[in-house]
Amino acid sequence: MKLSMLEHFNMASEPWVCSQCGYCRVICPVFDQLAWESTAPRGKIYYMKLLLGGKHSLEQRPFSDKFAERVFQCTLCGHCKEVCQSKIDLTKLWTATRAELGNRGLLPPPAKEIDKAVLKENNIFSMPNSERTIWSMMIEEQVLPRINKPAKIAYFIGCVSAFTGRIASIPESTVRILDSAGVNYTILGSDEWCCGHPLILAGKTFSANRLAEHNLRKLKELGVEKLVTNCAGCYLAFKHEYPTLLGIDPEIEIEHFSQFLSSQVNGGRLKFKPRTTVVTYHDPCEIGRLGGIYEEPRQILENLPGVKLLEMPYNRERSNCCGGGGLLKATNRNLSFNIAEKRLKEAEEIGAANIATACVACKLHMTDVAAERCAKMAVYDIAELVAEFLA
Amino acid sequence: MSNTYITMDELFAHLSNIVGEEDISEDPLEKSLYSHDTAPIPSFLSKLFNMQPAAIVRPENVQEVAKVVEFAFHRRIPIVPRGAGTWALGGSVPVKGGLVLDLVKLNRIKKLYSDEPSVEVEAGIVWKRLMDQLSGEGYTVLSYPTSAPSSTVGGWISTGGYGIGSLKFGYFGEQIAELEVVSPQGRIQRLTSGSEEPEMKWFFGTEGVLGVITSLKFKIRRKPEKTAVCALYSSEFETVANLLSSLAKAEVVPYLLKFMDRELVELKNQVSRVKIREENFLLAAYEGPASEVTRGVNYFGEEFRKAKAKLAEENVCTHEWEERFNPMRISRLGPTLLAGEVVVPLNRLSATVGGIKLLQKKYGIKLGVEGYVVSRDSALVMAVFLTDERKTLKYTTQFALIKDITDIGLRQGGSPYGIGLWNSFYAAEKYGTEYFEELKRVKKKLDPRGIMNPGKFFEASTRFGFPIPPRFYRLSMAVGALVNRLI
Repeated sequence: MKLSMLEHFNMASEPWVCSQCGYCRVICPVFDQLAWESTAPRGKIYYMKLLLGGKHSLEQRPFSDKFAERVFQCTLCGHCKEVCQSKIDLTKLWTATRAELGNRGLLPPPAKEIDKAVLKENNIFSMPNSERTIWSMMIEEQVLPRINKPAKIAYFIGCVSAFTGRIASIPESTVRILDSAGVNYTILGSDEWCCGHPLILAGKTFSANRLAEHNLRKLKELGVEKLVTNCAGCYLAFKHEYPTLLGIDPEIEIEHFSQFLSSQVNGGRLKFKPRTTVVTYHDPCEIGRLGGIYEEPRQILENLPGVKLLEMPYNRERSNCCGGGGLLKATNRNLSFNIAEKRLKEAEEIGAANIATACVACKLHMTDVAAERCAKMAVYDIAELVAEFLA
Repeated sequence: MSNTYITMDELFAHLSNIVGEEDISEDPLEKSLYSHDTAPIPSFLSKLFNMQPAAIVRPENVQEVAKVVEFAFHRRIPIVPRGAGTWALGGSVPVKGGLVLDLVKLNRIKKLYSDEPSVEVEAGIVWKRLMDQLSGEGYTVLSYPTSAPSSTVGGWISTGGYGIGSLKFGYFGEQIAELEVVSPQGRIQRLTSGSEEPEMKWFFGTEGVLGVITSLKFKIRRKPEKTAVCALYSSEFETVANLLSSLAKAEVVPYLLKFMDRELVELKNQVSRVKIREENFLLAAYEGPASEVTRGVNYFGEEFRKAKAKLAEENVCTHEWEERFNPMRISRLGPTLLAGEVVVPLNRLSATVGGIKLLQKKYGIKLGVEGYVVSRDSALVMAVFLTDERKTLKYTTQFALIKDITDIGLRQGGSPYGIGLWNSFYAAEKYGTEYFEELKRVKKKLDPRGIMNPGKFFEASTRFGFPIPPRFYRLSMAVGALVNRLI
């Protein structure tokens, strides 16, 4: 049978390239929890080979509900891609498969809801986008003058930070740091729309084009040359997904806030006061394995006076996922919590009482899981932690 | 409980009493994924067998394994033990339906013994996970398969047992002190080298046809003080073969000694970040106390100078050492990668590779050869070629090449690396008639109802109730080769 989205993304031969070695099986956070072949990347890709080769079992519809469910039982952490012997771009393959499910009307309810919300309000929470600066309520006098003010640097907040009150401390801390470093930057305010990454996760890849084009147009109007964001998903969208999946060249420099912050720290533009803290760093999949950013966040932490940085045994490209990505938290809450719990235990086992990360979704997810499952672990976004050290 | 027939509902009810509903699957999607291993089998061959299991069962401990097997014995239901399904000879694939016994949940380290270092693990533990955990305690294993990132400890002893480290530390079976097995009648037994009826060695390499291995205790070692990797090139394969022999017999035995011929290097270079000079390639890794490693490296230096070979660059050595787990890297060029594997005497290596190269002309296909010296006098040779599974006729006929590769090794005094389903015609040649007859006797005695991984190893038993006659197999492969030449 024909899978048009796989063809569109030039992935239709990949199921044959897979040698079934199973290296992806062992490191997959979902297989680690569920342990059925159909939950492993290897199993899913084999089934796609059966579909493409017309050899699927006659007992079932080509895309069984089970298969659709399995495609979304995935955090898109990219660990499978990292270990693949045959160098298959598996995150792209899973994205294309989700788009295929989208075309066939087989998306799970949370994916449909995100699509609906973004279509209506240009953010994933279905909130009026005019309230996108709600996060800055406590620091309005610092933020409002910057909105839509032309500048070479833009701080892109992202839907999660903008609308989730309990992590408003992340954009607040970011503003404090940027101001302390004397950076001249702009914020799009209600002209900031969802970056489109959640739609790509939700199998609605092409709906992301409209958002990408809008955001880039607004940035250009303000003369922006560099976009900085502390949302790992937004970073991935602007930096990698726009050019590779949507065929759009952002034509501006894209930096994750950890990269930007690292250059500010190295340039001596921030002054810190000492504080004794033992912390481990959790590599977010979307800037780590999928973005190649491993060292900058560590350099920042090592430069904070009084910080002792411990490494978990699985770090950098071998880092285990927190379970919060790929919409898994929405499609299978319990599974995503189990994955996070395991990661929190890894941190506990090395004697860390604090986890720093550089992704708003990781921070939010691990905080929720720690609270619900009684892990005595404080989870920080790196901006929050750095702000606490500001002199 | 002696009725042969059982409905799916009854089966599900019985099994869920043992392992719980969560650990049984009869889902068609799942069943299709447990009906194959790494080998892409042409459909004319796979259709001869009933490869779809009735269900997959995942016991969580040896007691559950024993209960499932006991139940299957009473109901005469085939049981197919499965590790990670990373082999290509069909050992973990049903050929008569039945139950796939997935050992994925038997993945714990039971005990680490620090004096005379050894470890007891459950059979389903993945090598890489074990090595990671041992590393944290300052230990590592003696040897491991090239598929260590995904394959299981129980899987390796049930199949080949030779790989990285075998040259220095020997066959995996020689490192095993104790084995826990579940007999085909559901009895849990602990075996040591002194055990009789069953003997421990019977379970080595017999691919689960005599019982289910559930845990193993084997020797490990302190992490080596030093690892050094050196490599060389030569335009002549003969030079590489001679060097492999002398390095394998040296006072300091390399931990790993492998080679690639020029054709394989060319293929690898097309997908590799680090390019290698396109000649025959030899890699030696030394592990151990620093002084010993230095002596080994010095000897390597003397030998390569005598042979007038060319020394490989440091980044190539590092890269190829890291690449030891990735023999299937070139599959992208196929997209299908097929391989024939055979163990040959080291002094016949050059002749074997020469013979394999002649097949290139016969089939009009590029064959790359790589291999490992696995003992002081034998090497495991893998000849790989690229094809395309989607082009059915051509693919089916090229499949015959695997048999030709094996036969060339056999003519040089070698034996197939493993048996499974596809090499069952070679089992007697591999084990020698006497030991093979002993294994047949043991099979009858231990598994009188023939439930344990049936239809393979001793014969290739079709879904139609009769085994494929070896002559038919050979003839069909010969016809395949002929048709391949014609098309």
